[in-house]
Amino acid sequence: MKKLLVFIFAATLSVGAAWYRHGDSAHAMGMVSIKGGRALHPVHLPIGKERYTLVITGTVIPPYRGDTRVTVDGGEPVPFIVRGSDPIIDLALRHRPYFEDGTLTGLQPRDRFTIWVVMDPDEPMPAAKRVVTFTDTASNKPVLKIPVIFGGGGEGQHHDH
Amino acid sequence: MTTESCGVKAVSFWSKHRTLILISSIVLFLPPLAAIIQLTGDTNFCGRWCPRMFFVWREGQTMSSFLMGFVRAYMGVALVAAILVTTLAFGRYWCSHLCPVAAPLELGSRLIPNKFKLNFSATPAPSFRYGYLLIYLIAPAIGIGSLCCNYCNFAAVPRLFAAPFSEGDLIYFLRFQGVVNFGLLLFLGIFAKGGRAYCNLLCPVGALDALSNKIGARFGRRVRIDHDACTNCGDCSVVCPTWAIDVTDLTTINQLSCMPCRQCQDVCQHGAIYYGKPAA
Repeated sequence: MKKLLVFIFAATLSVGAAWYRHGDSAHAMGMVSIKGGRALHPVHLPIGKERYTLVITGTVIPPYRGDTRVTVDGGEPVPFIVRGSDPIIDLALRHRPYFEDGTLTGLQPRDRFTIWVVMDPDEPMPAAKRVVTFTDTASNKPVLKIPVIFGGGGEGQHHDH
Repeated sequence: MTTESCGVKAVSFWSKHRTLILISSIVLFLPPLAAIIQLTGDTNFCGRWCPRMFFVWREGQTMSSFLMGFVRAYMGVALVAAILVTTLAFGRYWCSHLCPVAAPLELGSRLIPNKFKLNFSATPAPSFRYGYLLIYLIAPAIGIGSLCCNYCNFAAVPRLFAAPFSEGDLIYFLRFQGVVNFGLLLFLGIFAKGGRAYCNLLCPVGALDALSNKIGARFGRRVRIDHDACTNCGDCSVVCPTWAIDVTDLTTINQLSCMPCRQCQDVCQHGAIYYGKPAA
């Protein structure tokens, strides 16, 4: 009986944990390409928070190669920082892109990357739309745009990697 | 059996060097070095090395995108396949000796005085674990949400090691999910008796591995009890980090929780615990 109750308790707790979203972070996926790229889905976040974290994972579609600057655009400027996830001790065993000074450097076809975009609005975020833009530094053309929608349904939505 | 005729216990290589092997695993898999992970151009277990997500079906997913998940996480697939196959024959050596995600939790818990540790041993671990695993598999399939990346030990532990050096990894913890994950590692890992409560309750890879362990127990090598020698003293159950040993009546080992750390074997004064195939 105890085993059954523990099983039910664990399942119930897990349903709650799977369902609940605090909404201060989300995951976005995209594909960088010379034709402007493609976000797999827009990111929905709730309004009213003072800090949002986006983890963006992406793949580079051939034949694109180059460096891309990452910015948060659209509407009133929102203070933001972008950080990469590079090796601490780089053994240089394989090619990989690096994140440096707001720019993903050395992207090659089929590369994968992960970056963190932290938005710190000066005031609680109102309903708004922003776009995380990846811009090729050589041509100054966008190679990926990821819409970020604050409010308007789907708050706290999270998609797995 | 490892008890020699002269009465001096012979400690196996795997038992004697387990701590060293765990530390080696941390060095090889986790930042700042993460040498094995860097072989594929990665920095952590997310992406190619993810062992948790490829077998999860998500609502609206097509078969081709499900299969693409296997391709995308090919190192994770290979890792889980290797874990399950070797476990069938030899037991859960990945969990006990090699898992770089569990190693810091267990080793960390050894540094904490016992009086500060939480004891979860009254919890029937398999019941909790498979209640969790059921929802882990069902929730994304019916669109409730996901337990996969949000509560991921394979994401949180490497980032814990990288955070002092990398702001990108530190950011992981500076949000609600990061705080929750950090708390789980603390309370179910470092501050848990044996340091293995996270493994025993919330690790989906461990849950699958435990099933493989149970299935393979019929023919493979496992930690077992020689009931002729056992006095039911209970010393073994005290040291078991996964609370797999029940001494209520006859001492038994639950192969749904046991991993061959063999701490029970080391403390048994009667040579009643051995690692081997089932008796004929």
